Amino acid sequence: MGSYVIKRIVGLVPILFGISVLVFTILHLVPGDPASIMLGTNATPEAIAALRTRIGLDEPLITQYLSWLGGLVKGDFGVSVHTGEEILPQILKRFSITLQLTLFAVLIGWTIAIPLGILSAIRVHSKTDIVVRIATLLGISVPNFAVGTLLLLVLSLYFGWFPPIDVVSFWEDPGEALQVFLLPAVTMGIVIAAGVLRMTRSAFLETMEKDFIRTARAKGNSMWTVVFGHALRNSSIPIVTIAGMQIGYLLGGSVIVEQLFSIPGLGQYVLEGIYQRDYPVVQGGVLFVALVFVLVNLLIDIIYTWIDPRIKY
Amino acid sequence: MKKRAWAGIFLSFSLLLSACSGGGGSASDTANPQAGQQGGSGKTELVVAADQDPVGFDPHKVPAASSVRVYALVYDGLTRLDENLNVTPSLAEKWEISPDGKTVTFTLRKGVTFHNGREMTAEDVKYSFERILNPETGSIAKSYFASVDAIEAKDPVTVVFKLKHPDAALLTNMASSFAAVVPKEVADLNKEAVGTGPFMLEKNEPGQYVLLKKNPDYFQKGLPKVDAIKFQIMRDEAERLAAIRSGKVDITSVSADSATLLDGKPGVQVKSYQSLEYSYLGINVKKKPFDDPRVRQAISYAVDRNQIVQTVWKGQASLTGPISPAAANWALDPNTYDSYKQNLDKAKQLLAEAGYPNGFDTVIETASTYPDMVETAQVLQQQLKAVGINAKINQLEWGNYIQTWKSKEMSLLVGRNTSGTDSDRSLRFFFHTEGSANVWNYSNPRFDELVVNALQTVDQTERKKLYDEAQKLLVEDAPNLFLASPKSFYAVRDNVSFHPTAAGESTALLQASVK
Amino acid sequence: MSTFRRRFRENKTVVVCLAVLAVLAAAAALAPVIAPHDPTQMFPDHRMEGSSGQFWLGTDQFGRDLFSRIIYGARVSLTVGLSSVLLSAAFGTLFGLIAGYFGRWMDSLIMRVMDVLFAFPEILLALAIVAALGPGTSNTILAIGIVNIPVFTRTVRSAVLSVKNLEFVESARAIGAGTPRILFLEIFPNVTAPLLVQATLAISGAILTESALSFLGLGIQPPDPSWGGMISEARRYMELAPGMIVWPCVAMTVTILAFNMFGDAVRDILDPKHRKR
Repeated sequence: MGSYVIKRIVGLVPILFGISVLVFTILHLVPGDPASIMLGTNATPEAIAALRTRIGLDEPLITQYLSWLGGLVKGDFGVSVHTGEEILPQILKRFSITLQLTLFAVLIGWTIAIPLGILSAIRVHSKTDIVVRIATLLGISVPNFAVGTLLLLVLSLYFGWFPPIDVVSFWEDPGEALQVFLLPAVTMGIVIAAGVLRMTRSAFLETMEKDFIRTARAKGNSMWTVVFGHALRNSSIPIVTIAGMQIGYLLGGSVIVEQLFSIPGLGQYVLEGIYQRDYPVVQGGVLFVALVFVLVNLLIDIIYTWIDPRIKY
Repeated sequence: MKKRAWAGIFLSFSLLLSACSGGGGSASDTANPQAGQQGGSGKTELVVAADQDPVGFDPHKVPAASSVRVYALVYDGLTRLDENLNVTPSLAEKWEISPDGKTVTFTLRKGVTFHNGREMTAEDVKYSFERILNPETGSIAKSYFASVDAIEAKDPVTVVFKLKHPDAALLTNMASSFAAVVPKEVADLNKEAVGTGPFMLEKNEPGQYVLLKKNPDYFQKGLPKVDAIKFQIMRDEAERLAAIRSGKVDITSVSADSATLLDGKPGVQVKSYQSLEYSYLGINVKKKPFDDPRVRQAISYAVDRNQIVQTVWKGQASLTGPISPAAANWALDPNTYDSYKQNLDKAKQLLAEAGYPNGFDTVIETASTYPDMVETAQVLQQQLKAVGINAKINQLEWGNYIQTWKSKEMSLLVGRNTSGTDSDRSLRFFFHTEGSANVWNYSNPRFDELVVNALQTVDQTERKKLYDEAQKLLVEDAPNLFLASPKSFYAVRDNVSFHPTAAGESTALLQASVK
Repeated sequence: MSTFRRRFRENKTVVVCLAVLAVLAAAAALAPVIAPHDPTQMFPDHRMEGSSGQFWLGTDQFGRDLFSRIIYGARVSLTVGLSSVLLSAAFGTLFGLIAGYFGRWMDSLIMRVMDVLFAFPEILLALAIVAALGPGTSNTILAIGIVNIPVFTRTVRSAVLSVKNLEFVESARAIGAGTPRILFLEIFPNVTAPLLVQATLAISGAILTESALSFLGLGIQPPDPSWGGMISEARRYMELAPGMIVWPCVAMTVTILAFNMFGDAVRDILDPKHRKR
C-alpha cells in the first residue's frame, strides 16, 4: 500500500510537468498582452513598453518559462503581474472558499440523489422511477447560469432575500456561511445530483441482481434491511468513483457559478487571470487545480481498498 | 414520488431561506432606515457595488476604471472639476497665468496633510508631476502634460510650471485622477495608498471588497459626510440588481434596462445623468474600400443612429458628435450634420460613385465584455446589409479586442470612448495624426492644424471657433461614426443622498450622505 | 438479433427519444423552410413582444422573431454538439484503440497525455483554446472537441482491454491478420456500444459547454443564433421579456433530455448487465 502510494505520487510529476507546459503554451498563444490590457485604450506606446519591461515580458518565452518553473520547484508561485501580490497565499485562500462551496454543493447533491437513486432502483421502471429520472435530468438540461440567475431574481424580487455580501467561512460563522454559499451550492448541487443519481440507480440495480441479495431477501429480511445492510456497501464503489471525479472536477470547474455569485474562489481567480493575461496567476492556479484533481483521484483509489478489502494494489 | 412530495421539497427550501433571512436580511433592512451596516457608535457606511476588482492603487501607473473609482477618493489633484465640468481649486488655492501663457504659478492650500500625517508641500507637487513625466513610470497622463518644460518649487506653497507653449487644457487635465499629488517618500504606491484625499484605504480584500475610511483631517470642512465607503465586488448585473433591491448595497450603477425595472419601485431611486461616453463605429481609413471618403460617408448615410438609441440604449441616449453632449459648451448640435439622417439612396449612390455599386464584404470587430457593444454591432450589421455591405461580426474577448484596436489593421470596429472633459482630449488625442488613440490611420493636415492651434489658444471664444470647425471636418471625413452618447444610471437606496454627474462618481461620493 | 429488435421496439423511451430527435433534426435541416422570418432580421417596432400571430413565440430585444431563431438555433446547437463529439470520438477511439491494444510505453504515453488534458479544468481549457484560436463556430467545435477527447480515450481503452485477449482476436491473429485489420475489424465493433452511450451523453455536454462559452462571451458569433447564446443574452432581459429565456431553455432541455434518455436506454439494451428484470 505504502509503496503503491509513493509510486503513484512519483507518477504525478510528469503529469504536472505536462500541465505546466500546456498551460504556459496555450496562454502565450492567446493574443493580447498584460501591459496593454492594464493600460487600456488610453495608453501610449511608450507607457506600454515601460510596463512590459517592468513585468519582464521582454524576456524570451523559454527564459520566462524556465524562471517560472525554477520558482515553482522552490515552492515560489511568483507574483501577480497586475497587483504585484504573492500568488500562493491568494490561491490557498481562494481554494479554501472553493473547497467549502464544492463540499456544500456535493452534500446537497448527494442528499437529493442517493435516496432518490435507491428509490428509483427499488421501484425500477415504475412511474416513480421515470419521474425521478426526468426530474434530475431536467436539472442538467438547463445551463446553470440560467438557473442561478433565476434563483437570484425570484428570491430578491418575491422574498426580498439576498445572500450576505461578505464571504465568510463555515468555521468563522456557520449560519452566515450557510447563507453565503446556499444559492451557488444549490445551483451546482442540481448538476451533481443528476450524475450521482444515475450512478446510484444503476449500481443498485446491478447489486440487487446479485445472489447474496436474493439470498438475504429469501431469508425473510425486509427490503430496507437488505438495502442498507448489504446493497449500499456493495454499490458504493461506482458511487465513490463518480463522487471523486465530481469533486476533483468542481474544484476547478465552478468558474461560472463563482462568476455569477461573485464568490471569490479559485475558478474566478484563474478566469480573471485569463482575461487580464496575468500569466503567473493562471499558470499557478491551473497547476494547483490539476494537483488537487490528481490527488483527489489518488485518494479515491485508496478509499476503494477501505470499502472493499479485496482490492489490493 | 408524487407531486406533493416535490412541493414539499420546494416548501422546505423556502422555509430554510426565510429562516436564514432572519439574520440580517431584507425585512430588517427595509424597516430600518439606515444605510449599510450600522456599528454600535452610529457610524455610517455606504456600500457601493463595483463590477471589477481594482488592479492596484498607484494613480500614475494604473488607469483601470475599477482602480480609479477607488483612488480618486484617496488622492487629490491641484484642481477639481465641478458638476458642470468647470475647473475649481483643490490642492491649489489659486493660480496665475502669465500674459504669454507660458508660465503658470500655483499657490497651494496651507496645512493640507497626507494620510501619514506629513504636510503636503510644493516639493511633493514637483515630485508627482516629474514622476508622471518620467517615461519609466509609464503613466498615461504623460501625454496630458506634454507642454510642460520645467517645474519649480519656489517655496513650500508655490509651484511654477514653465510651458513650451500655451496650453489651454492644462488646468482641466490637472483635475484628472491620473494627475494626483502623491507623497515623495512612499516607494510603492500600489501597496500603500497615501494621499491627501477625503478617504483613506483601510482594507483591500481581493475578489471581495475595498474598504475606505473617512479622513478626519480632510481639508474641506464638513466633508466627507459618511464614515466609510465599501466597494463590494459584484460582477454580474443580475446580482447587483438583486442586491440593490434587497438593500444589501446602497449604491450601484445599473444598465438602462435595469433602470427601467427599478424606476418607481419602493426603496430605490434611479438617478441618471448624460455621460461623457459615446459609442462609435471606427473605420480604418487606410484599408480598402474605406480609404475612399465616399464609402465612409455612405456608411454614415446607411446608419440609422436613432435605432441604436432606441434598441441598444432603450431611448436613454443622445445623438452625438466627437464631443459628447454632456460637454454642452463645446459640443455642436448633431442635428446639423447632414450625414446623420439615414438616406439609403444617397448611401447607395455614394457607394456606386466609389466603385462599389453592389456593396462589399467586411468584418466588424467588437468586445464581448460589453453587451451594448455587441448589440450595437448587430444593429449596424443589419443596417449595412440594406446597402449591400455584408459584415461579419467578430466579438473578441477584452484582451484580444485591445490587441486588435491597437493593431491599426482592423476594418470596422465598434467601441466606446470617453470623450474627455476637455475638447483637446476629445479631438486631438483620438484623431490628430500623432494622437495616441488614433488607431484609424486618420490624417488630415487641416484638422491637425486646427486642434494644435486650439490647444495653444487661451481665449475661449477663439478656441471654440477652432473646435467647431474641427468637429465638422471630422464628421465629414468620418474616420469614426459617432453613434450615441448614453445616459449613465445609478440605483440608490431611498435613505441615501447621492447625486451623480458627468464630473464623476468620486465627486458625488464626496458629497454623499445618509438621511 | 430479432430479440434485440424486439427489445428496441418495446422500449418506449427509445422510440419517444428518437422521435423527438428526428423532429429536431428535421427542424434544423429545414430551418429556411419552416422559419417564418429571417432569424437576423430586426423589426424595430416590435421589440420584446409576447406571442402573436406574426411572432409565434414573441420577439427579442432587437425585434427578431424568437421562433425562427430557435429553429435556426437548433441548427447551430446540434451542429456544435454533433461535430464536436464526432471529433472527440474519432480521436478518442484512435488513441484508445492504440493505447489499449499495444499497451506498454504507447499506453503510458497516450494515457499520461490524456491525464494532463483531463486534469486541466474543462471550461478554462475550452475558453483558452477559443481565445487563442479566435471566436467562431468551427473554433468552438474544435475547442469542445479537444476537451472531450480524454473521456472517449478512456472509454475505448477499457473496452479494448476487456476484449483484446478473447478468442476471436486471438484467432484473427493466428490466421495472420494485420494489426489495422484486427484493430478496426475485430476489436472496434466491440467497443461501439460504450462508445455510443458515451457519445449521446457527450452531445448534451457539448451543447451545455457551448452555452457556458456564450455566457463567458466566447460562444457562437452573433447574429447567428445558438440556444446557449440566446439564453445568455436573454438573461439580462429575464424580467422584461421572460419568453426570451424560457423558449430557448425549453428547446435545449427537450434536446438534452432526449439525448440523455436515449443514451440510458441504449445502454440498458446493449449492456446485458443493465437489462431490465
